[in-house]
Amino acid sequence: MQKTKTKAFANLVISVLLLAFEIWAYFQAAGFRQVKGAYVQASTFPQIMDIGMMIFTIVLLVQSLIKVFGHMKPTDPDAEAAPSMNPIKNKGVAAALFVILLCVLYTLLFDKLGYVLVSAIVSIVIMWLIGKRKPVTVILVSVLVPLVMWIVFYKLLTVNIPMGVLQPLRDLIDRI
Amino acid sequence: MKKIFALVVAIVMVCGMTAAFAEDFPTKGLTAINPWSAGGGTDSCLRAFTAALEKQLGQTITVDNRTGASGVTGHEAIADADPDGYTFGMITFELATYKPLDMSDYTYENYDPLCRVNTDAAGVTVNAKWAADNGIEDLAGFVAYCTDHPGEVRMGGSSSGSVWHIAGGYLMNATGIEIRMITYADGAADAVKAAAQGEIEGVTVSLAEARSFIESGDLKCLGVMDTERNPAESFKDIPTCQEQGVDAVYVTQRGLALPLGVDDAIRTKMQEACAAAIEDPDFVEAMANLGQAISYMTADEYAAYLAQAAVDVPAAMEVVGLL
Amino acid sequence: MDWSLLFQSYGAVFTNLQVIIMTFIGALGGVLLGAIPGMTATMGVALLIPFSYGMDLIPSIGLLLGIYCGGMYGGSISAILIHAPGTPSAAATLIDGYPMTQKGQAGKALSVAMFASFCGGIIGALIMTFLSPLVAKVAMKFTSAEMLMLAFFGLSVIVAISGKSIAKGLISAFFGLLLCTVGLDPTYSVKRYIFGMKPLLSGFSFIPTLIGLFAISEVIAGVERIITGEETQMTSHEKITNVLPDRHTIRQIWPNILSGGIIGTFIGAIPGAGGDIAVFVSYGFNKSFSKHPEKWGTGIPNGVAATESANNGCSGGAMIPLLSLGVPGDAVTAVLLGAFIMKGIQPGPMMYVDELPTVYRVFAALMLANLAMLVVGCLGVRGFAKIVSVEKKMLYPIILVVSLLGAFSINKSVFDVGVCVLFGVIGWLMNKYEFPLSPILLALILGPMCEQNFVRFVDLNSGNFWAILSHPIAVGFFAVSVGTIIFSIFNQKKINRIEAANRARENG
Repeated sequence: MQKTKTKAFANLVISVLLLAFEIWAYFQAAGFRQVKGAYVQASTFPQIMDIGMMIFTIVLLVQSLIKVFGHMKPTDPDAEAAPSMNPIKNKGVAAALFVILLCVLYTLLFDKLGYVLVSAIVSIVIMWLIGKRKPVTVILVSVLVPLVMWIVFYKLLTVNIPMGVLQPLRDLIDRI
Repeated sequence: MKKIFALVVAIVMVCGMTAAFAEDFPTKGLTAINPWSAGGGTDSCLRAFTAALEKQLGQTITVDNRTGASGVTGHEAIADADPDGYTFGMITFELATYKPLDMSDYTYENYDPLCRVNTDAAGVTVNAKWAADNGIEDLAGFVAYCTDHPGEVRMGGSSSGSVWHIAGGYLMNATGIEIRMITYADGAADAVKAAAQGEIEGVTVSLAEARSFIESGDLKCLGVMDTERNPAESFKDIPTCQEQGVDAVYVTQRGLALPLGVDDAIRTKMQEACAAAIEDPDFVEAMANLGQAISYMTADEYAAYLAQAAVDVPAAMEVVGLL
Repeated sequence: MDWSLLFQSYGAVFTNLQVIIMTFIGALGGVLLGAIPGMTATMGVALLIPFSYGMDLIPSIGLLLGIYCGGMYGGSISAILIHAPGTPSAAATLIDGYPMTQKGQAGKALSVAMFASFCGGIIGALIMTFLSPLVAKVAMKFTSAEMLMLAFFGLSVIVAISGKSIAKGLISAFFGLLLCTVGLDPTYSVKRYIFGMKPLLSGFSFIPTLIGLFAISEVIAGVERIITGEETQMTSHEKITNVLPDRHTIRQIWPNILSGGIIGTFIGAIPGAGGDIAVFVSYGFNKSFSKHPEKWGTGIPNGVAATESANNGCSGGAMIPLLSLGVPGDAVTAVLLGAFIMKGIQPGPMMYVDELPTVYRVFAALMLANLAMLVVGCLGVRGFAKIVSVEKKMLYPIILVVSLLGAFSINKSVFDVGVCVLFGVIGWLMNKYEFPLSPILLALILGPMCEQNFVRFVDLNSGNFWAILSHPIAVGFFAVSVGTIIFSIFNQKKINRIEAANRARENG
């Protein structure tokens, strides 16, 4: 197998990305407000933790460098193929990314549409996506679960969850 | 002509509606926003008060805990609420700290205060053994010791930027002494425990929070930063700071406020309801059980009080290194 | 020890019908609440306090303790069945609980969790009854220095739960420690990594982060598996003949239960350290001393027993400083403290002098609460286990919408829903590239404790960190931590060797 497809190579790429993140986080911390006369500055702890993360990232980097450019036993677990992240070649990754996109939309529309509606929509779409195609079951489950959860939170736990466009439903339940 | 007539009709209708609206207020349930979490001191106080308020208004009041971001979220939610009078909330001491700490642009001017409900005074409480070892018997002795040992005495005051942390700054400003404030992010109980252990020399938290150790004799309260003594059985012998010649009055406060722009008639109605609810015997009993003092202020008094706090609090914050 | 008063108090509690009913209602509510991701025992207790206003002290304490104990067990149900810890204290239960479900042993995992919870709770209640003053005295010895080193000790467990790459485990851990510095700093309220986002002032909310890392990431991965056809539907063939674990299993897990219960009680007794820390310490401890450390994490009942006994032991432990010092041991007992004060009783050193009968009745109520939890749990096991049989294609979307609601309800903030999704993605990626999730979680729990006590300790000693050498308990903890780290590294090497040997055997 090509070495660029092994887990060892994936680790190499990840550790380089992490290092970039760590350097960024370190300099961010350096910009925190300094307090006069303080024994420990607010930036101290984050910077120490960042350096700790850096040290072990470098360990991982060196480990994977040795494996990628040196000799790697075929039985080494890192010689296995790394999981794919290509949504065009791998349908599973594409589906996962689609679910993530749905979750982001869910967050953005949560206030406007209200919990029950947005949950029902997302739930129907995901069920359809993963092959649950009996319309009656899909719609019934997708609508009932959020609705029951909402009633439990609202009535029993007195936690008010936004209803968005379905606000009249809440007023109706208030009457009962 | 027709247009003007229509406009007049519209204006009359709108006025009539508002008037009728204000007269009938409230026609549906109200919401009280609480910036702090369920089960805490503010929550118990607000729930007890809304229970009394419900009787006055004849409608249910739902308490909505909008927690997060050190209370900023909830405070902003109150100011941003629809000014129809159906949403109000409890504002607390911390409101005065948000603007100086650059956590929020909102100040007391973004609210229409209804009334002050409760205050709780800070006490200058020290480790009893430490006090005895150094011959400190009263506030004067404490001040003298701190003057001789500047920057050596360590006092605990709950979490950073909290009311009791800033209390230390008030004490320093009022007496001119220099003490070191140590923060206990888990809250006042943690600071009190540390003072009893002798990790720090004392605390500037409320008496109620230090009660168990004051009663057991591990801690000794030298003075209450209030205008009057605390009437509770365990505390009534503790003198105020003013009695001992130190003019340090420092209390945390909780009160109700509406968003700006609520109709005058509705506001008056709410103020009247608050004034009546504060006397409700069930509320009085609940507050007594909670160990929280009722210290009512009318809307105007409360507004003046908040304006003063907006000046005093940042001054004390600077002393403890928050600014 | 006043035996006659003790028996009298137990008698008074166990024969009072109102107390029994209230405790059972509490336990039922607690189990159900705990099972919903995002609804914690703390929240349940806080929500029910207003209902207890009208009751006498002991029935209302029974109700609240019922929720507390029930919630501790309830959290494990969703951790075991759907990889979503219902409460933070159940976060370590899923390390072995979820693999058991995947092996088709959901019912067994649930009954082990329940049995261990019950035993742990009883151990906690017994220690509380007989050793309270002693434990309280030890707890009072814990100052900032000791807390700092206790946090360090907790962190040393990370190596034991890192999985096969220790470097990756430690990267996760330090990432978690870095994450918990987001927000206002605990000493001078300096803004750190906020980027103008106000909800971040108090940092990433813990529960949405937890739900995201475990539940949402599992949903994303589950959808991926279904599409690629790797997911196998579990048709639970498991016959649950007995709701309690059989004798063979009990013989296998009792050492884990015993040590877990004791560890849980003592960690719970230290104010500021709660069940969430205790479960990981117990897991790490039990794994290290196991004869087959390589089996831990693959779905063995021992792992579930070690964590569940620890978190219920904690409930007894946390009551000790509450009653004897007036200092709450964790978030739930902080709310309970309010309940006592509301009834005009101030817990604290004087309570053992003035209110001894009340103290004993609280002991008895805790015992009763654990019994109630066992009964409710037994009745529920069969029903809960059925969740696994729900078709996966329907289960994943349901988990998604329920979990996101849980994330929202903590602060009622849409921002938290976003945080939850963000950590769902991070968790998914970490799982894919074999970065372990548990270290991040443990770091999130211990990070604030570590930083606060470190900064405070240095502050208290005017910048001299080496003053810590004058704290023998702290130095002891440090030594144990270093020992744990070294031992765990060797242990992991051994595990990797055994696994390599197994692989070689399979291959050839």
